Amino acid sequence: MTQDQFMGIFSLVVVISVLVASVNRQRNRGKKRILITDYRRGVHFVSGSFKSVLGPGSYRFDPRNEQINIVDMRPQPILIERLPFQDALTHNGIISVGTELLVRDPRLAATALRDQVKDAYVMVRETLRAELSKQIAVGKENAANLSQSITNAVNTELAKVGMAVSDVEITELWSHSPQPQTTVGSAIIQ
Amino acid sequence: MNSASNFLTTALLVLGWLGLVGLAWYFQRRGKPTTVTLLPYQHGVLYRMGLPLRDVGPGKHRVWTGTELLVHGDVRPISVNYENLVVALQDSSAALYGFSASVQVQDMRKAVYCARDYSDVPAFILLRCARRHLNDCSAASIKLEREAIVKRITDDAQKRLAAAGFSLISFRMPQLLVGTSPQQQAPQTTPRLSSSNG
Repeated sequence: MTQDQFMGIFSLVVVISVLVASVNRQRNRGKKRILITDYRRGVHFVSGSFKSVLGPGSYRFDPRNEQINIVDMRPQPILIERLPFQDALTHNGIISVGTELLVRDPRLAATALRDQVKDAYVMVRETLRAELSKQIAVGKENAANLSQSITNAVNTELAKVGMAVSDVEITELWSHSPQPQTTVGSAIIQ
Repeated sequence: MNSASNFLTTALLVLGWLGLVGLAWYFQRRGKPTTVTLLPYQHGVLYRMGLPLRDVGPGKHRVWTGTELLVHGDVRPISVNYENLVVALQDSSAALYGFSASVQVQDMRKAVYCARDYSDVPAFILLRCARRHLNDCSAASIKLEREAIVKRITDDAQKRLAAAGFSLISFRMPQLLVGTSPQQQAPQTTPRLSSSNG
């Protein structure tokens, strides 16, 4: 092989690599890179339509027609403290609960809620109050059953927006159950 | 001899060029090399392609932006202080209480995964434990077994905090008064993370 031939091959390699580099550069122009850790998910939209949920990894996307909404899958502890309620017998009571908000469906959570924690928190509180208004004789002795029924009710409600809660822990429960007043009762009977 | 020399020169040129192209491709794929410096009170977890690679301590760490991420946090003690909280007791009376505690991150990886913002977790756990254990008591038991109740709260909080990657350095309950109405709302002197009054 002569010197000219080697120079020819070298020039060809240079030209090809420059071409490949320029094509690659053109292809990646305007693209952004995003790294999704294992405790997050990326909800990928292309031209305004949902495409997929991205797991952990590094992704390139074109922000001009693609969007990746990051959803944090880590639990968010919440406390609802001293929530006044009325049970089915209109007895007043106070309850405090602690639980953790979880994302079950990143796509639904990203599209149905503007702020996952704030919005879900309100839903949990309202469901808790509604569930307690159906209960009769709410007391500390049936706290385990109550906790289970609250967890189920809240999870049913939150499932509509792709969220859930871990087991609800009742940290405070007080219900005012008035004692039967014999004097008033006897007066009515008379 | 001349031909062999030309061959060698051209081969070296081609190899050098290919090496350059390979390097450009590698950098494009891997990202840009940067250095992250962690201070003596910071610990972190290094992620590569989204998966945890290793725990890192203070010092300089090379991170390839684009494929690697260093998630770091502060391991200095977190102070938790609450006053004038009201809790209903088992005998339909109520107690006014307050506590102060100090908590430190023990395991940064556990702390990173335990919540969206790990610095909120100690307060949540301590509030839950204190309220739960006090609600199980009566006014008489609070007066008689104050130390035992505080110990129960401390033990429970310690367990829960350890599961989340924290260690409880200290826990004190300087305010614990019995006798208010269960429906009374105490004046709030400290900011609350999440609370509701209906």
